[in-house]
Amino acid sequence: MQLTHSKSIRRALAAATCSVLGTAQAASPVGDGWDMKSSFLYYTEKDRVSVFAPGVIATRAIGEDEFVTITGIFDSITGASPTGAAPGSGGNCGSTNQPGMLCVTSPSGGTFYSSEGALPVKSFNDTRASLSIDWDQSLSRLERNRITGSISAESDYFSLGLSDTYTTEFNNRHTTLALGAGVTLDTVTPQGGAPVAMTPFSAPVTVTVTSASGGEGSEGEQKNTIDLLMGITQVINRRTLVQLNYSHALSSGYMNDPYKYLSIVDATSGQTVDYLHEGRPGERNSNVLYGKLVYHLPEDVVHASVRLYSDDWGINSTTFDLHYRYELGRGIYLKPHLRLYNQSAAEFYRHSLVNGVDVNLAAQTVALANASADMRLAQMQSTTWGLKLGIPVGKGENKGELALRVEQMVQSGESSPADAIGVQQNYNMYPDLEATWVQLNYNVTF
Amino acid sequence: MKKSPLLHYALWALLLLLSGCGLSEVKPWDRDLLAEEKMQLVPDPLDNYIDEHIYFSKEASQGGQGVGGGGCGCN
Repeated sequence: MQLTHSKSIRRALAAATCSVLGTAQAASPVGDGWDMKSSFLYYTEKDRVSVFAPGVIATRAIGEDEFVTITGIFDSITGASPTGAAPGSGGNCGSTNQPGMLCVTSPSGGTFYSSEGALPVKSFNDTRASLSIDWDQSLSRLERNRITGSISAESDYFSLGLSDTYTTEFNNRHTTLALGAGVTLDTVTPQGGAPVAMTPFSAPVTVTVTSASGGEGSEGEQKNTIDLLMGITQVINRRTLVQLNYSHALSSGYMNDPYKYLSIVDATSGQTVDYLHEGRPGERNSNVLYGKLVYHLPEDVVHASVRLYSDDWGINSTTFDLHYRYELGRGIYLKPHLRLYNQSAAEFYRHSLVNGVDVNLAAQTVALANASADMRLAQMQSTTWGLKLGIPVGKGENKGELALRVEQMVQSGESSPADAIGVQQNYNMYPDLEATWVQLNYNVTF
Repeated sequence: MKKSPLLHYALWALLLLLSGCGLSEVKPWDRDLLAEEKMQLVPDPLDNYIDEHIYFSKEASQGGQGVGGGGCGCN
């Protein structure tokens, strides 16, 4: 009994310390055992991608006020992803062509079909395994430091990350200042080699094993990111906590999506006449301002956050996020969620390119330095709503929680852009993305 | 490159936060509510990790809550 009481005090004290940390933290540190949070996620998009992803976050004390957290996620991905090609018809893939069908033969040999007016997609399968380890230790009564190492591997992508976050409390532990820095080193090894950016499919040289940036395709293309963060968390009163973070990220290197391309269309008919490998700037600077309010009602708790994002690709976005934990009694709760997001388009986003204006296929010249039809770089807005049910399980030292949550997201953009040409005016140029994910959580301390 | 308005918002928010507006001292023995797990800045780290990964793979924006994190070929 005494042990249980002692542990609950340690947990409360540790949680109180964590509550004013300036950044996103993993699970609250625990006593002598493991605090494990596990989940099984099923994510599915209408007519596109499905993902099955088991994951775990495990935390335990490794010394006096010193903790280690291990996070592991495994993604199994199947389905189809938009290629960047605009809805249309035409192309020439020989005898397999059917009237009205859009047919694309990429220089790397793949042939893709889509019915007339449908969004062209490419099927794929992949797996991703990611692992990160946090080491969180107390430096003094008011200072903490957290070092995180992470690794993520896919068949064509490898990422290594290292970050450090230092926090110090002052003002009678009402204010916490956080300073963070991180570096991420990514390697992209596209299947079939990295395409030469901004090159039409019909060009003499399109896909080579030697990339545009000079690296061998087999060795991969490099992308590096540096993150810097400064944050303040303030205890407003007994029930209210406020967080304000400012972060800056600088990415440089291979920023292209090697599998994405743009349609080149006829200036009058709007029919596709060729395709062009996308090309993005080799550098990206972003600034983010993030504010969060946590408020304790008599029983329920509200988490509300706003994020303002801006980068030098011309993308500005606003994100509003609200979670309301509604206590049903006996530790059972419902947590509705609402998220609203909108973004402007990247300066180089184009739903398609025009032959004779942006590209001169006869002369094999391209008038633009960068262009991408990646729908994630388009002007769009997104709404997510969800509901979580949490139920306490176990007793005493092994107390835990079982939870089920369902989230649904609808993303929509310019379905009838003003600059659509000819037949494009008959098509939905930005079909909605509808995604649903279901997650089963089991948290336990042992 | 356009000058970002974020710096202005950040300075105003910081000024408001540090001005002491609406602040009251919370003694250690009054921190029972703040110590609850559901009052943590990120009470459900696995949910947060998964959601941020999904949004990162479907949108052009990322970051704000912390530094680093595993990159992926999904964006």
